[in-house]
Amino acid sequence: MVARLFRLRIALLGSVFRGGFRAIFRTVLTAILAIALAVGYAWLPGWLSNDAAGRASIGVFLASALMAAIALVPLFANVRNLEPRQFAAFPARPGSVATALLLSTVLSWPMIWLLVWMAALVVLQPDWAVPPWALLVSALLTIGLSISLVRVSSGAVHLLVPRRAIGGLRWIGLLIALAALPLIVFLLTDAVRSAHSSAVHDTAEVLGWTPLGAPAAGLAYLEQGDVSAAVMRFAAAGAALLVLVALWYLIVARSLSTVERPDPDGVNSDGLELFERFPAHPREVIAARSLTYWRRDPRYRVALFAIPIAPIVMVAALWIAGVDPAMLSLLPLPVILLLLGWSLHNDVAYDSTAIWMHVASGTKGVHDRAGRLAPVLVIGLPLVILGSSLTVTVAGDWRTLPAVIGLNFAVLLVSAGAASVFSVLMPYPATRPGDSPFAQPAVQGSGAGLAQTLSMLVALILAVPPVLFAARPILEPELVTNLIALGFGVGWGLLVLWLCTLIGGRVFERGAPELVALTQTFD
Amino acid sequence: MPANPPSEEFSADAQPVEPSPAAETLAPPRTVRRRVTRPVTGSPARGTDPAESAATAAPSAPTETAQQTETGQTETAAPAEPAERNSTEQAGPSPRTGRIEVPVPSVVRARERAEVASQNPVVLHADSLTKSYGQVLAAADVSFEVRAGSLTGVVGPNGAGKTTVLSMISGLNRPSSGRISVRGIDVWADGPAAKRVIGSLPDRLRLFDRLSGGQLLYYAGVLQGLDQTTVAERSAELAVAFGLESALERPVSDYSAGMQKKIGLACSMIHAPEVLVLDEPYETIDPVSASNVTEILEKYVAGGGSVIMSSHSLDLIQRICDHVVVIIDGSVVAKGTVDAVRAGVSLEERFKHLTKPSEEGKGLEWLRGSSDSE
Repeated sequence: MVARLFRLRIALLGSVFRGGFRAIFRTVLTAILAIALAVGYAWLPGWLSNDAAGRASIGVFLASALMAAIALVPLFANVRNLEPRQFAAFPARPGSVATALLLSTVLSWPMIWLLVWMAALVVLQPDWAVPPWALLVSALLTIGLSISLVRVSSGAVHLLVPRRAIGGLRWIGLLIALAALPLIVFLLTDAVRSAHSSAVHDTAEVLGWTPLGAPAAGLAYLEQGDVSAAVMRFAAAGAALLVLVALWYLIVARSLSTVERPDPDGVNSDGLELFERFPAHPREVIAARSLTYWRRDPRYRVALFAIPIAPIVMVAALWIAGVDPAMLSLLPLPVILLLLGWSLHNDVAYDSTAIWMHVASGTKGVHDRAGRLAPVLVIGLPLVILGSSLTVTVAGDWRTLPAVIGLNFAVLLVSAGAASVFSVLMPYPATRPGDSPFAQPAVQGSGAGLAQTLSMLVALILAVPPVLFAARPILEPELVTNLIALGFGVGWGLLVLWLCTLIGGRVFERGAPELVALTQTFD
Repeated sequence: MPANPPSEEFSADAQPVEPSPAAETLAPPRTVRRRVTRPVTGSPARGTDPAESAATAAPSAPTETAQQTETGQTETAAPAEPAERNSTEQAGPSPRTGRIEVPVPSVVRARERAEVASQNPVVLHADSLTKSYGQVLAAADVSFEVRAGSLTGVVGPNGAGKTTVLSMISGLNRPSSGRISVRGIDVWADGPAAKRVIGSLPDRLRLFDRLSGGQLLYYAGVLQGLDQTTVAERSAELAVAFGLESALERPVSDYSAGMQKKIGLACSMIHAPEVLVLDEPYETIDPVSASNVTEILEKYVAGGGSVIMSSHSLDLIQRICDHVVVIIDGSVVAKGTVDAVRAGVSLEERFKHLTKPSEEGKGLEWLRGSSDSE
């Protein structure tokens, strides 16, 4: 089994060089780039610090980051990984499948880049005062840990997550990566500025005890001449390796003795698009329907395009007026989120008379209200994470991140909640479905201005408490007040949204026939 | 294929109006079972032309048909009774006797149904429904009943209040006063429960037409509380029954008016309601699809469901409905079985009489073929 899998791995390695000239050219280019990145990553500690201690700390830090990536990436992107169930049909014991898969992982492109990185580490530091046996032990531990980490996380995902959810998982991973990117860049630049700071040293100290940083930490201690500490780290890494390998054998045994839960029988999977991804429940299908409408109906898109304009104008005006740019950088995101949430405030009128389907089916008001929040949350929540980390990067102090996230989260939820109530309370004529999004509504009713003003006003008032809570931690960054602001922001936002959904749902249920009648007059 | 029993093939060929194979999947093939054998020559098949039958042999029609199918009583109660199957076999061997089969026209089935349905329990009870818009009375004290297994038509001139009455039943239009109960559930006191047993198709209200046909069916089904598997099965069957299977992937906004009507009808039936409230279900539907829809509705009614539908077409109501409610200026002026209401004349004649156009023939003297501008 082992030999066969190695042969398969070699074939897989070579398969990237198949295809036309362009494909091969691209592959070669990617490979060169990856090797350059691996060498550059190995060169980074020496470039960031001159003395051995600082270099060791940064080295442990970077090695841990790499191992963390090796462990985390397969959680989200593992479609191309070999998995135990692919070998379920072959007459092989789980143990031999597990061994073969684990060992043959060495022959995969990421592992080859890892080897390049390790080789570059040795080559780039000729004055590295560590004995060769330690280098060998550390290298073996690193390789062993990384292949078992890849296998365990990829295998666990394949075992636990149904096949059709894996696509969604990829998007989540991409989103997390995007959100984390500004923060990672920020942390790195922070490390550059203060390579000798105790923060980096302390972090490296902690990471040295985890399987992520232990092999690198062992080498660092040996360089300082502390053999016992080094052996302790190597032992920790070895123990972690044993646990991971045992876990891997368990995962393989379980994977080979079970089958994936089949899709619900008779599910019509053609052409339902988003509806397939949501459970068959009124609230969720209303969410899927809203999302489909935001995607297909140009009326919603036009409203979205208008949203970023307001903060640009505001920031430009205030900048000219001479407001501190650091403070100014906090402003655009809440304004965008406020407008995004507020854009729900007339969604019932956007449905026009089609709302009768909800009324005639006796849909619960809460389900109607909650389902319609989906597009705003799907756009808004990633925006909160992404935008907040961007905001603190621009503002220049990442310690305020919790407070900024709390504030923005609350603003989004509060404005969506207020808009959700007003959309059933005071609908006003909207452009009809199918009309040009720039066309005027067929009926010019009174109350458009009033509904817009009131819903915005209520959203603003409800947003005041989280803003107050976030103001101090942002001005005087402290961890505790920041965490309190985050907690308050999240709690307040969820509470207000929940209450608004209940109120809106109640209004919907009591006035549903009147809503149908009203939309008929708009049509 | 010589191995096949010849009778079946022959009867299928001889059938002038072939029931669409799609509709057959919904319920047991009823039209095939209840075919009546007739000689080729002789008097024209009674009931094929509703106007003719109405004008000439109207009063005698119901009794005659009732005699012809002795087992008619069981039809509405249980559609797939073995006893009925036996009667089919008796009617089956027509080719040997040199007779061809003529399917029972819907009008005959409607008359038979009227007999049976009037004995059935009441499922929908409208009790002095009134709806006023300011000074205007759209519905004044409207009361009527719909019985299980009945296809009840609501007729009336334009603006008589048919849509108002039907939307009050389906819970879309709050009555100013009055009470509607469906299977004993008050529609306006316990809306969600009542709406589970009602399927409605309003007229001139939009569908969520950015969704594809399949998505819309799925949406309607899940909103009515069905699970995924049931929805998938039923949407597939409904799509076949209404001949929409090739259009399920397209957005509903691209459908023709008739197709939109049909997908709306399919949506109203997906949760297998006990009462269907259909406002102008035949409007904009082409004749072939219309006969298809009639088949589906008849099967539904034969299975114990009830339909209340409005239409402008008196012909249509007379042909397929067993009961009728005539609404004029918001009030019920006549109700009962179609035969009772039309009282020996055609429904159209009766309707003209009921509406009592006071100034018949007066006015419009200037409207004539010869030109004034000579």
